[in-house]
Amino acid sequence: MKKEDWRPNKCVKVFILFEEVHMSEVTTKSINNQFLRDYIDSEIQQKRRLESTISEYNSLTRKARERVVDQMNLIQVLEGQGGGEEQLKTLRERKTKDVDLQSQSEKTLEELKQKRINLVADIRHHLIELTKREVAAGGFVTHRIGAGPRTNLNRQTMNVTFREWGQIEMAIATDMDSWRDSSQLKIITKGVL
Amino acid sequence: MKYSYYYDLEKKNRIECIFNVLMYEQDAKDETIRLNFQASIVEYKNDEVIQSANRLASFVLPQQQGSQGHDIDFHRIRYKPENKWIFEIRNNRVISETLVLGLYTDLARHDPIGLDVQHINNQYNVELRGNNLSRLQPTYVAPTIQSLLVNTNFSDRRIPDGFTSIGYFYDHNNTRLRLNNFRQTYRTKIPKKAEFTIKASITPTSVSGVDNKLFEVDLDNIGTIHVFNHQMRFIKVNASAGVIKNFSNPLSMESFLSIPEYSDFIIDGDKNGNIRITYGSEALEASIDSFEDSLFLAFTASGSINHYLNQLFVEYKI
Repeated sequence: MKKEDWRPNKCVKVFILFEEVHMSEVTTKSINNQFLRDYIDSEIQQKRRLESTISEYNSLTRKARERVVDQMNLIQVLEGQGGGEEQLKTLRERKTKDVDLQSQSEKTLEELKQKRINLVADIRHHLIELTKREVAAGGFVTHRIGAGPRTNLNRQTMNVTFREWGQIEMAIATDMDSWRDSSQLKIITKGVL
Repeated sequence: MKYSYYYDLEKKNRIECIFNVLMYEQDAKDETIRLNFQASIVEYKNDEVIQSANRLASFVLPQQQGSQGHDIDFHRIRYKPENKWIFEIRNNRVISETLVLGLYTDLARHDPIGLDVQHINNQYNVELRGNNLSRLQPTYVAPTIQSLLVNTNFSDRRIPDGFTSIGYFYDHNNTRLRLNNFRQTYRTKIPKKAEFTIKASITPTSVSGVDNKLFEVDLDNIGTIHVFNHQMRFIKVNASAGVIKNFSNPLSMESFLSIPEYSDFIIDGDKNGNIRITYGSEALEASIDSFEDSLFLAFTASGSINHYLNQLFVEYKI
């Protein structure tokens, strides 16, 4: 969503496409806040999937680079030994394929990283707005949470339970330059969960 | 629990607020839990620790089974007007048990781009509720941050991070360094309006050098202290004339050898630009301009005369 598209009437139109709601009973303002929350939540999920893909491509790129280096070393050794032309030809072809794979992989990685930059900027843009509204109304905004492994997020209450080494992310974007970020922790003795 | 605020997508620049439980003991009879923990707030730049504040403490959580409400409050406060990041940990069951830690850091001037939260203990599971970002009350007063930059008495061969000296020798019988020069660069600068204390224990091997001069100490962006056997002179940075304090009794080797306090070279600065320099148990008072932060102190002995350095301590409060 670009900044210019962001006008209340447009939001309401998009919202109708997805859900049937008794529009008259809900004020425009609260629809927009809920829309913002849902939108940001879905972008956080996207970002998590993107991070996972980036991590895989990092691994792929690194392995492709290692293979190319290994093959170059092998070719050098064989050339030094005056190795067979047939063998060298096969090795050189394989190396060329791997170099292509490496550069493809690097290119995709760059694209994915750029996508992530854009996504983070978009989340930021929407979250700054949501935060501004909620802080103006009630003094605080509830964090939008992306639940990671070994956690359970209750979307109704926005409470999260963590098992060992569980991890979540919370989006944070505001034009306040000072703030208090709070959490309440309850210990759940093991065996109960 | 570890709260990691990151400032870049690679997460190499971040502030971490860590609640690390070292001992978790559950009493079988009354079902209370005792937690011994270490609380830390750490600043990372390029994945390296730049500075940190740590404290050990203990909470008692009464009546666990079937209890309502929550156990611990974590507040992470960013306070830009004073460049501070603050970590508050409160025992919700015993309200008097609270811990406050903080860092004075550049990062408080910038917006973090995200927060990762991880449960780093495996002895219990947790539920996190009330995860909110709120406005600070206008009455909020940030705590004073105390930052220890250097603290060593050279009890082992190690020299502090940022300490350099050409041709020094470690005297392991007396656990001190013998040198005629050194420079200590601080990991983070002493902020210009901070209260600070610099203390070094410096004993000369001779007090009869050229022009009776023993040594000089240059404090970055503050000024230079020249020490002679009959007086001390302080010339603030960018000035040509200075303040002179004549010793009532000239420094003598007998005094250095018999009175340990004689060797204490102390500089105390307050937030109003006043400093007090002590050596040979006499003090010089002067004022400084405090326009810039201070990154290092440099010691140069006169005529390469060796001195013994027994202790080095640098701290500020802001």
